Amino acid sequence: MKNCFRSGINPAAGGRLFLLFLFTTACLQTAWAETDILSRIRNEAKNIKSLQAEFIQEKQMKILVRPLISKGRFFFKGPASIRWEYLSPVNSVVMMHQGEVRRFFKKDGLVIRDSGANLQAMQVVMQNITRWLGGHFDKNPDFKMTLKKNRIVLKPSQPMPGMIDRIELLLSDRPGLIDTITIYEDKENYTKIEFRAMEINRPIADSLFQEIS
Amino acid sequence: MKPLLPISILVILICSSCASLPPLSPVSTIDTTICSKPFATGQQQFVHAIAASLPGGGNSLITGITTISTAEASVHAIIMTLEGLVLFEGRIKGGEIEILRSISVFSEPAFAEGLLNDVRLIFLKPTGVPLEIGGLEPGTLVCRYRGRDKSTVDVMLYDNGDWKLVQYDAGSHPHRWVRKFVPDRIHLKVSGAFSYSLDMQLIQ
Repeated sequence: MKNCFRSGINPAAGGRLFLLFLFTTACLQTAWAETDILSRIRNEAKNIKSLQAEFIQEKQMKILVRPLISKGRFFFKGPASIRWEYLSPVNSVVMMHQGEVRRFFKKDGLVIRDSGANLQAMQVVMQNITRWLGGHFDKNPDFKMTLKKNRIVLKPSQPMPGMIDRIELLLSDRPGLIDTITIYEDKENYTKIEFRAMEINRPIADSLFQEIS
Repeated sequence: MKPLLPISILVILICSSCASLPPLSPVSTIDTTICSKPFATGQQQFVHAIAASLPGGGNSLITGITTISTAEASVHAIIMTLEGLVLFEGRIKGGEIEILRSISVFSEPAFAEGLLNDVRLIFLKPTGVPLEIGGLEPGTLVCRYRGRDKSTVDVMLYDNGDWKLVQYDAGSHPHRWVRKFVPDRIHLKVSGAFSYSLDMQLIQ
């Protein structure tokens, strides 16, 4: 007790302070590590001028007897051009170039422009993908970001029940790239998009983001 | 002469509101089980790529998931983008419509009712027994059903295995047509103030 009086610290309170110190240090280290990882991703992302990949999309819903699988190709060219093309089970392409998003699909050999209301939602999705490819996972105020090892988790700032519970981005071993995007509507319903055969900085013509070809 | 114009308009309106159903010619053998041929049985699920021609002339490609239970006379329908974003989910059971989730224009009750009625028309056999069975075009057999809302559905079965459904409103005007014209492909056309059509290709 004397020693404690001398130091002016109660032993129990001292223990709590030490734990608080450890906790604060751990939190700061986590925050620093998070900032470090994110800045590393952003630095690497600056070197990605273009990206092309194949993708497999798996839609899993409680109601579905078996998952719905779609396959296609993805193209990105900085600063914000995207071509998202489905090859099966249907032919459809969404292109974002110079801020304009257009979707086309094929029916009976004819190319038809999609003018549905769902295009607005797709515009939001593509803008987010552009942010993610730049490593800016925390730039959308509609989502709160946390980093868990090699996984970025984005939770809606305002609840979006039945629509989006969270988005998980599985980061690639190669900084700046994303291996998988999983959009959870709830525990049982999700859409998983897995990227394969990624090629970086292979020249892509601008026309790919403007013409159906 | 002056009163004739309003009277003539009235006559036209009365005549147009009193259209009659096309008469069916008698057929020799009648097996009512054949009337169920176009419709789902038991519990089944269909996933379609749907090319929609919208009111006003626009087009859209969406994915439709439909689960049918004939025992419960229920339909569970989901409309989503190709990317998997759910735009609408609803069900109809025993005439009761329930919207489970929806966004944007898909939240309109009229949309939900129209969509679920379309799905019900396409996949579920009309309730009750046929009011009449007969021939209409050469090589066709028609099973005619009358709904509680005084609407009529003609189930037209062709010799080559194809089929067509025509729905008439209470005034006997045809306003919905459903046709299977190649395997796994169904076409729905709806007339009226908000006319549209759906081209449905089975993908799973």
